[in-house]
Amino acid sequence: MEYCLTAEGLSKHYRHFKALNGLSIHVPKGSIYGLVGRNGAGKTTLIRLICGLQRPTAGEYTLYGRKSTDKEITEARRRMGAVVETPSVYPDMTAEENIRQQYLLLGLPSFDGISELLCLTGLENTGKKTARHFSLGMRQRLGIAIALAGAPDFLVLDEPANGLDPEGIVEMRELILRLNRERQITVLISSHILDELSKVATHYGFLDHGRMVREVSARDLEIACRKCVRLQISHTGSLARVLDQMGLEYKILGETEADVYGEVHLSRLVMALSQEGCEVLGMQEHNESLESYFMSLMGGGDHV
Amino acid sequence: MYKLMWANGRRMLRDKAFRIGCVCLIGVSVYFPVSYHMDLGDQAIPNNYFFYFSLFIGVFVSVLCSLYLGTEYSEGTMRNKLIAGHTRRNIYLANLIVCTLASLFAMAVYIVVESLVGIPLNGRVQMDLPEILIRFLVSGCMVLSFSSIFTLLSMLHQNKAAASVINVLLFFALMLTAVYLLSRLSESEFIENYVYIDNLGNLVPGDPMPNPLYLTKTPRAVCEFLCDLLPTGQGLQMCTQIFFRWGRMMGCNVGITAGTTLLGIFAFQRKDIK
Repeated sequence: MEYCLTAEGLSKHYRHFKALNGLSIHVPKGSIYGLVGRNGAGKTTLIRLICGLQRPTAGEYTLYGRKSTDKEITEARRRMGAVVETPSVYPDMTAEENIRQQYLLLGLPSFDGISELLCLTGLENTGKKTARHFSLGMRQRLGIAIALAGAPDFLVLDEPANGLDPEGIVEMRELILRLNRERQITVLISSHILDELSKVATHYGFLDHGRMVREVSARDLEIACRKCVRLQISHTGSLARVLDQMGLEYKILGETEADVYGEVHLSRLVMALSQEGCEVLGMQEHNESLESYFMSLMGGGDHV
Repeated sequence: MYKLMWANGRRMLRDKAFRIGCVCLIGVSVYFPVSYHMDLGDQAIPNNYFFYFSLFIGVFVSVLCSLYLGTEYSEGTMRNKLIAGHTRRNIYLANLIVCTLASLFAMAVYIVVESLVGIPLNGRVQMDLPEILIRFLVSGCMVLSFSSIFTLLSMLHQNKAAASVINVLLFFALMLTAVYLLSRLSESEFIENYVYIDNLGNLVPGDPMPNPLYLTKTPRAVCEFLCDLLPTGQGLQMCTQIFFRWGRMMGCNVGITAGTTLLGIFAFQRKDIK
């Protein structure tokens, strides 16, 4: 698998506080990578490091094959756009002027793409209104438009849905999906809104105390979180025979416990097991969400 | 760096602080020749006020640097530059150059307006052209010094309000120091023209006696050097004195600019940006 961003043993210390503590990450090209973690887990610090705003205390990361210690990292960084924490916009400028300013910074030869960016982010009708008078959602979208000015291959968004109303969240989601599908832009998103993240992410990285606890693809996570019925039976051998006959997918968890996936006709299953001499001692429905997966992974306790 | 300077320059022209500052300078540049003319009529000499700008151009530079560069931090737009792949050295230098050019432009506007208003009212400055040019040159270098000092402070403080306060306070601290140093240097060597009352109650003119406040040898040399080193000292000397050590002042300005810029780049490269 090709990665646009990898990191190994990345650390960032602020005096005695370890914001990142030997973190590793692998962001596949073309993915929408969701960065999940509690407050203070190190999500924003990681983003600051890869954006070049801060230097790692130890370890290094690789961006499009360029190590963070190489001088050429600035060239690799030109392939990325980012909105870190709050959108970085000049309040006294209009949306168009802000994007024009970014074009000048990037040294782009013409301003031709500005109207397309404004349309893409839904800011085409803002006219002479300055960014100072924009709503939070509009500022967020303007921040993304600025990040997209250099036609990046890699977009980093730190809490893009923060403070947005439900309509704004849906618009943001659709924009991210469009950018990923139509422009093949790899997106790294940190978010607290796990339900929202689960609607766009193709890969997840779970952070805790400055470390990567687990990286998992959405497909694997879906399997892990799949709806199932957990059965406690007298012996699993009989269960396996019955389920094979019924053509149901299952996972044996122990001698007396198993998960059965798919639509289960419970009375038929119980009768079949009874005929095999197997008793059903208990059953529970399992339907784990990203949120519950996260909570079980992090050990619960604090809020996300 | 050309891209950065171009983008910075465009923003500077739209910057409210810069525009308001220029308007204030224009107001002051009109005020001095007009008020001198109203007070002294035909006796007004332009030499007395023409270089007054060197006294307060530092306030303009301090406010401009802190507000213009502070916006980069307060609005987070500094991040856009770093993410766009610009090196920290180039970002620092581009900011310094644009702030310096904007300050020089404001100074030029002041001089032009003052000349346009002052020459018809009070006549030309009574100095040789080379002397006037030297004063302009030293003033330009002084602006460069101010700009490099205030750019350093503004680039190292991410809090816009704090940077503004620190810059303005520093300017006034430098000004008070320069005033004190110049007043010590202007003390006469002997106290003359004093009288005392003798035993008979008569007023007797006294002989000249040494002034204890008069600085000699090393302390005097140090004070003179500090006056030439401080940009505020340079400004005061240009306003109040006919002769000044312009060569040493230029050297000091080059030294201040080089020192603060090297220090600023070094510190900015290690700075954690939020």
